Amino acid sequence: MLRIALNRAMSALVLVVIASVFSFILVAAFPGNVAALIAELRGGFVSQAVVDKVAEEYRLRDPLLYRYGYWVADVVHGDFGKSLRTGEEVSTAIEKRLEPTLVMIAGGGIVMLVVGLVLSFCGALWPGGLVDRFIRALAVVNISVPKFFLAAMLIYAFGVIMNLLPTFGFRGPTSWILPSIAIGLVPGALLSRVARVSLEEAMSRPFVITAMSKGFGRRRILLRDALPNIVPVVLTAFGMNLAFMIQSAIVIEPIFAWQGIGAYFVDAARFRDLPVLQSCLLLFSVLFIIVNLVVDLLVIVVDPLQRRAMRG
Amino acid sequence: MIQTVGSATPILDVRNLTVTLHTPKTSVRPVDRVSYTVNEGEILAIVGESGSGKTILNLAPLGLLPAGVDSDIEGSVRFEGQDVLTSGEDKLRAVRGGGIGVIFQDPLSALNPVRKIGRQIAEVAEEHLKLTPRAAEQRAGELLSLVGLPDPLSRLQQYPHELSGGQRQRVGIAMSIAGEPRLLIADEPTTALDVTVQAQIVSLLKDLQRRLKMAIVIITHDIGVVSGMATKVAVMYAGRLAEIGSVDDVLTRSVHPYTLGLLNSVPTLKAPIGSRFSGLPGSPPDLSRRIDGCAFMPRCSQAIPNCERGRPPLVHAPGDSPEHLAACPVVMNKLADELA
Amino acid sequence: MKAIKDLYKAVGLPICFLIGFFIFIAVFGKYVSPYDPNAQNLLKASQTFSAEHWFGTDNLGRDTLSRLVAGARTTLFGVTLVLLMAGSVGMVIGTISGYFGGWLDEILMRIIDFGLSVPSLVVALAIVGVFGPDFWNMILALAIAWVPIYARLARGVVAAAVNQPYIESLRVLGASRTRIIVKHLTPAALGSVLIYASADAGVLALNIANLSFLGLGVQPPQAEWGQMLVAALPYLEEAPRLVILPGLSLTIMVIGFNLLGEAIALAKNPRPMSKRRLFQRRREFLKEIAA
Repeated sequence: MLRIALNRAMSALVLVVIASVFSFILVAAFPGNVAALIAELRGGFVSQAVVDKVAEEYRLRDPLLYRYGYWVADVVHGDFGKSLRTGEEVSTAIEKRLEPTLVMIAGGGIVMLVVGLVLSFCGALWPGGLVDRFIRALAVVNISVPKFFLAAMLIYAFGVIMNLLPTFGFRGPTSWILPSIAIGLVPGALLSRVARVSLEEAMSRPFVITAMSKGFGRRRILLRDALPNIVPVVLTAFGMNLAFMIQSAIVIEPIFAWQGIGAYFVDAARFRDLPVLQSCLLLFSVLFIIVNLVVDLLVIVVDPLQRRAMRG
Repeated sequence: MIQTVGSATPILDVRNLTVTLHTPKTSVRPVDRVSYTVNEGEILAIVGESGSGKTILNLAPLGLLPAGVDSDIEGSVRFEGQDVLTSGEDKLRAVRGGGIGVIFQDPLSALNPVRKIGRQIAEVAEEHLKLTPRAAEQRAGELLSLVGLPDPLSRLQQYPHELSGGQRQRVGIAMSIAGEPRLLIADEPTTALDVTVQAQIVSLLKDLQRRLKMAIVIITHDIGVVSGMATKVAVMYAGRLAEIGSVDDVLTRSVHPYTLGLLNSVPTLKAPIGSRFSGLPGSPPDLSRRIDGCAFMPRCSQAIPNCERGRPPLVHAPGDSPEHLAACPVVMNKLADELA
Repeated sequence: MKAIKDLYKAVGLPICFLIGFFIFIAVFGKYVSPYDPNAQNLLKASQTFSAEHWFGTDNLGRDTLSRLVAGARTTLFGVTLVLLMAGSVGMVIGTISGYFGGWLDEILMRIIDFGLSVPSLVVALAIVGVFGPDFWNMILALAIAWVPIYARLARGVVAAAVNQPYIESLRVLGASRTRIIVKHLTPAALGSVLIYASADAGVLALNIANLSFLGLGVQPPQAEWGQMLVAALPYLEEAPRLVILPGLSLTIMVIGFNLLGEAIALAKNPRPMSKRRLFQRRREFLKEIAA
């Protein structure tokens, strides 16, 4: 088991390296004169001398490989550069904005889990029944709804019409509800689909007939026999969806006016704030790779079948 | 027509059982008006080729068919007097595991791979004997030693993939008797195992039957298993009963041409080397189509014109045993001759 | 023609209708919309549903219905473009990787793995952020983000097929490498790719909308539903229809795509029969067996 885990970790490490290369190259490929851009943003008189000085400062004329090396060294030391827009240290900005994003993802994760499991169970309990078909239809709609539309509708329903829940800004637990639903509902539907299909597949395996021959009913078989068999699949799907939620935060945060990392990324993209873009891209990529790694490792631990394959 | 000799009610009384299966692709009738009984303490062996319906015969009435298959069941199947076909789901669940235990053919797929063996056995005792989890766990350990597995306590914590095929089947047996059923249905319990292990399982089943006083229905295509443990034999062909009687009658005084062909095709050590391998010519009929007359007729060397005329009823075989029956017009003629 | 009939049987009437509807809009939209989607008329701004403007006008006086139709065309155009690009590039990469194997395969797959482990929106956002918000930049960005999955898909099919005996026999018969790849392996990969693409179209449409919503995709005045929605957000209270209509349209289109993908998948996995079919089957069988 340890060997497989190490293997996975090594792969993850390779992916991180590729991520860094990609982040670097993308930004380095910026068309146009970065030095001039920076000089302009700094204000004041822009002459060739000023531009040259900026180029020197940012090592823009150095060979690519060196620049990459410097950048990696900086990053490892926690220096992500300064925002071109605000001049603020990117690392500080990220630190400040971590909390809202994490809250949103945690909330969304809970919503996803609850929605996913409940829906899939109800569907599997009465296969082909009215409940099942309704849930299936609901799931399709759910998955098709654009998250920003969902968020807008939630705001409209609960904020404008009913004036029940706060819709603007990151302020305390009640303000967490709507964004969590907005970000977690769709992944919940996705998860329920995965869980539902896995449950159906598990229920068609021979050991279910054995369980029936012991005198157990469908609900009990679902819970005791089928459920443990779907844990790896569902866990993987959960992890993947959680990772994708990080991406959804990018879109949802601005709607609810939360100052999270997602909103930061969007602002940077709008403004061509290169250092921020670079850092956020790297951050998001690494976050993803880590979440995937953790999920894979968890699955390895949890699944005895897989354990057996390992023992060989 | 079918008499039950013996005083008590048979523990299993099957009358005119007909099972039709529907899948999206096709419909078949693997069981066509079959009747037999099993009394207390009997070991009935149901023999036949693959596809003869012998498994469905036993599993369908209990509702143990795979997912995606719709079934129509007619007739009656009485277990201890109660017709399981008309019992509600609750009663049926009480019978499954508590009254009737089932051993499946492939122990690897029959066991849940991600649950501990101890749990899979103990839960049956919990459910049907109303034991506490701890008591049930203990009972599971006792059952494991009863079925001949050494070191039962550590076995309880193991997973199915940690055991060999023979060991897994023993676990399957333990699971099936954990609810203290009065009838055990064993669906080809030795087919998936090595030859050496087969003999062990057979003797284990006999031993358990004696000790726990169960009736057993064993489904098999292996004549060796039949002669090793059965007291009564039913021969199935194309969803119909071809011959039924005590093990002596059917194995040594068989009358139905199919039974004879089946027994002949078993190679023996005594036959001289190089003797012909005699199988049965042809193949079983398609059960999704109508069968006119005797199902075996196309392959039968003794066929007479009467064989085409409608399905042959079960008649007594010539001889003294009142319970030895066969569905064959040729046998019917012989019987007529005898009486004449 | 046969393909369409098969599709109809597999997928059912409502979906065919939906797809047909969207194809119609895509092709004939320009002639069908009552007004020029970009024509502003401040005198008629923010009108609600009326006979003249069926869905009303937006805050700049542009006819909402025409804008919705234009938005549909933009989205469909974008989706088709991205899928074509990503699909073909992905298939080429995947086929080469699967066929040649070895270290080439390893390296390509590592890169693909990275592409897969980072979600499309992040990559697309970064690319658009660096190169500027523009329709074509967005298309390019999405195409780049979408290549990995198709490469992985194609590679899987090809890698599995390459080991099959029939490929070996083709080689023995002297077929050139190119011929094998083009005539035999590619169609197999194409099948899987098409099936996935049909389900994927919905996600892609959503991403286009997401980017436009953030202001980084389709730029005004070109109409696109995500962008229309975000422009209408400030007016949520007074004119909710300006938010609801684009959102609803997008939802319906994505539902259509998703149902299509699901139906195709369903066609491969038969489900248990409905009650009605069961009764039918029962009757047929009894007729056959009895008498």
